[in-house]
Amino acid sequence: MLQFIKEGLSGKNGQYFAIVTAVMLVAPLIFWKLDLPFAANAMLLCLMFSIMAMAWNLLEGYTGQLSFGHAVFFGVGAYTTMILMLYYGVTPWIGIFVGGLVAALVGLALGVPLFRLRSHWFALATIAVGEIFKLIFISWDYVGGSAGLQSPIVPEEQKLYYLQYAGSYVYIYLALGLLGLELLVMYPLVKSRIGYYLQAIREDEDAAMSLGINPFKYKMVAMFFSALFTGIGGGIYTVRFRFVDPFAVFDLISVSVYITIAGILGGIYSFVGPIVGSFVFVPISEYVRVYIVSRFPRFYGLHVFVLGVILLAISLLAPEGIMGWLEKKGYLKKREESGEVGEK
Amino acid sequence: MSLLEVKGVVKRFGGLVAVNDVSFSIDEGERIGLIGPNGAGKTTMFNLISGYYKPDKGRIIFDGRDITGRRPYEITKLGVGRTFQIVKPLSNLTVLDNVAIGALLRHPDVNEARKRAEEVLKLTGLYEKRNMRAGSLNLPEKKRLELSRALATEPKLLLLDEVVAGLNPSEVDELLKLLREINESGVTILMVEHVMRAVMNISERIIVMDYGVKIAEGTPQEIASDPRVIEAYLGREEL
Amino acid sequence: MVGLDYVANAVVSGILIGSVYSLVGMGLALIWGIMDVINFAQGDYMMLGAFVTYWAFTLAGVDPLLSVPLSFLVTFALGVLTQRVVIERVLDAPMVSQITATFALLLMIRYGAEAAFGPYTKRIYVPYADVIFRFGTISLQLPRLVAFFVSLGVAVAFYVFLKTTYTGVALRAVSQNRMAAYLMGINVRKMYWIAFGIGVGISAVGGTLVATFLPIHPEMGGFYALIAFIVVVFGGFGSVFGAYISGIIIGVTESVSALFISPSLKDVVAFLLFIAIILVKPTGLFGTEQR
Repeated sequence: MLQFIKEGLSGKNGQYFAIVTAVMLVAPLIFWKLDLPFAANAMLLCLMFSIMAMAWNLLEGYTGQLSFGHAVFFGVGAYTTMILMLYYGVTPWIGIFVGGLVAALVGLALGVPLFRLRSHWFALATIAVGEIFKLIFISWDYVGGSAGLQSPIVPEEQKLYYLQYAGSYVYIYLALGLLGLELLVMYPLVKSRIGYYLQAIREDEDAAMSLGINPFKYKMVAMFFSALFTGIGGGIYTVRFRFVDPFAVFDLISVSVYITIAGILGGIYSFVGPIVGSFVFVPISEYVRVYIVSRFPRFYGLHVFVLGVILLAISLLAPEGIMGWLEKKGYLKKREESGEVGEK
Repeated sequence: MSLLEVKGVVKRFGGLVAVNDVSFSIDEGERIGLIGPNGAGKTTMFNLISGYYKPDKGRIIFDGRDITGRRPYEITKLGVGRTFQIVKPLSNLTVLDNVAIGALLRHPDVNEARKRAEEVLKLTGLYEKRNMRAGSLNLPEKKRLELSRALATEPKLLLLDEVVAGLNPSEVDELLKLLREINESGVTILMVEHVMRAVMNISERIIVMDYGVKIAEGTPQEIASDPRVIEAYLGREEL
Repeated sequence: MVGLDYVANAVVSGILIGSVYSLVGMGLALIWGIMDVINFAQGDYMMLGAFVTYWAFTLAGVDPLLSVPLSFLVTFALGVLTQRVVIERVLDAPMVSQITATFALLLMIRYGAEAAFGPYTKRIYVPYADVIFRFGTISLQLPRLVAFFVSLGVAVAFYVFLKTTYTGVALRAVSQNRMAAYLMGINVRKMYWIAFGIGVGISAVGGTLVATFLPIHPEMGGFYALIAFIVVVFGGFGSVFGAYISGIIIGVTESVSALFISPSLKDVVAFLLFIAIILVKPTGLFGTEQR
């Protein structure tokens, strides 16, 4: 496993990685010093979507199962973290991971019926499942029903325990740490036999079976990790905003579709594509939402319209996303090994 | 003991009986041809043996184990490799990756699998193209890729479905030579073919099907002069 | 125990609203049947039809029923445009591009309309909105009754079109065997334009009809799209008219189950039913081949 990581970080890749990491670590400090809450919020959102889009891409880019329902895992993770915190006083340092685990189990349970479906139907079913969860949580009193759950402000000495801080600055580091953890887990995974097998399934399930691959088993593995890290993203949401409600966390557009766009925009055939996609589209969407839509509520919907335009442009012009386009134009070294797919 | 025993296998699709009470057996090391006019049920037979279809009746025994109704990936693990009539390359992956995925079955370590894959590619003549995207190969190359991939799983029995279709005569000869080599290294071969020259050339024994029924079995010479076989082909494809 | 009167009324009103569902579903089935494309934005073209009617009524006093041809034509034109500019380009692309392209259309149409028209609910009040016919214990609101007959009329007209006109027959040919149709001199590409145009146009007529008795909103398409999917899956993909009948059935089911189940749970049931159907019988009730 370590060998994969060492290989991945060699040469140019390692340099880019080092530079980007350095920038990410320093940026929040700069935002804090210069009092730029919008930038910090945007960066946190970028990171959260990076985590979730990477996780989502394990199912899409690697396994070929397009999901419009990742809000389910996000919401389950968010609610689990909140419930543990609010009802049982469990620290989110643990709660976030439990939330991820619960989301992963939900994912496995959903995989059993859903992985029988082919592409379109799988996508439609994931939309349906997302709506089902939203409706159930709206009617469920234990989780606060349509009003949701809110965690109170805690006194100074409990701030670390409950991870409660003003603004997004601290949470950016939390998200960076979790993103790093995710990369550490996912990179060896996709470079290993599992990664190859997932891609085989994506390319041709029948051919994959003829090579000894059990598609269901590996789809479940992909689902587990995909749901796990998306659920962890939900946990971050809970600690940052201290409020979860079904309309926000199970939302088709602002969660599931955002995640999908981030992944596709960045490039589903690239390992870091989803991160690139998040960092491109989240600021655009947030800018439109905060500076135009909030100021002029009459134009509510504009930020999503912009998203639609971006998604359409990608589908028609650059289906392999930004990373795919960069590679075609020769700005990136051609990948010869697997773990990242060959170019079209 | 035979390597593969097919006993009284029946397969229906709705009202159509595609395979009707077919039985035969293959010994280790043999080269067997399976021929018959279009629609005879040959590819169905392959799909039954390799687990993509489940027989309605009958048994299939491979290497002493009953594999009737087992899933394709289990059957591959037991030692049956196959190619597909309509090639199924893993298009967006490189040639090497395609074959490496096959090799991963017996060699879970990725580096080991890639080494094995390179060896197989050298054997089948695709080594130079190993870093090309599989989807960009031409048809004969894709067929070689199918074969390479199946070989990488280290099968005891290799099911070849029309593996020389679409090749010109010299390509056919090259492939037949390769198949003989593979057979000599210990792999049993069962091939479905329409190209008579190829099948007659390489098979030790031939099984003939028509309308889902086995109508003849014997050496190429016996088959060529069998009146039932000739009648089956009259008015259909040329022999 | 719920009285029989209530059930009878529910069945009747289910049939009436179902006739609208049928139109949206029929359009979806047509597009799917001819081009093997699943139009995620189907409900949003319906919404456009509803808004065309709204503006025609509010700005020019056009009676909604007269705006049926208007909303059909406007949406038909938009549909042809969509097909030429978007769908055509992803027909041979991998599935993920097709799905994301039509989903992008959904976002653009739905939220573009919202940004343009405002996130407000609007209503049309037709002069005959409050007229109610009573047959024994069953009461029928006139607008819904009118909608039912218009919908039926559209379905019949469409049937006649498919069976008797050259274009209609050509469309059917294309849906059966694209290559054969092409070889027989049919301009397959144009047929695709027409198919998509009609598919969304019919849906828009559904929107027009709904506007006469229900409030409309730019985001209304989501609900009707879901219904359309249930209708098509239930009724079978090979069959456009199976979709029509299926729409009525779904309308009745929804209406009757509203008597027994709380509203939000009713939606859950609808979603679960949808998943159950695509898992168990992907070809639906009237469907022909597996696609």
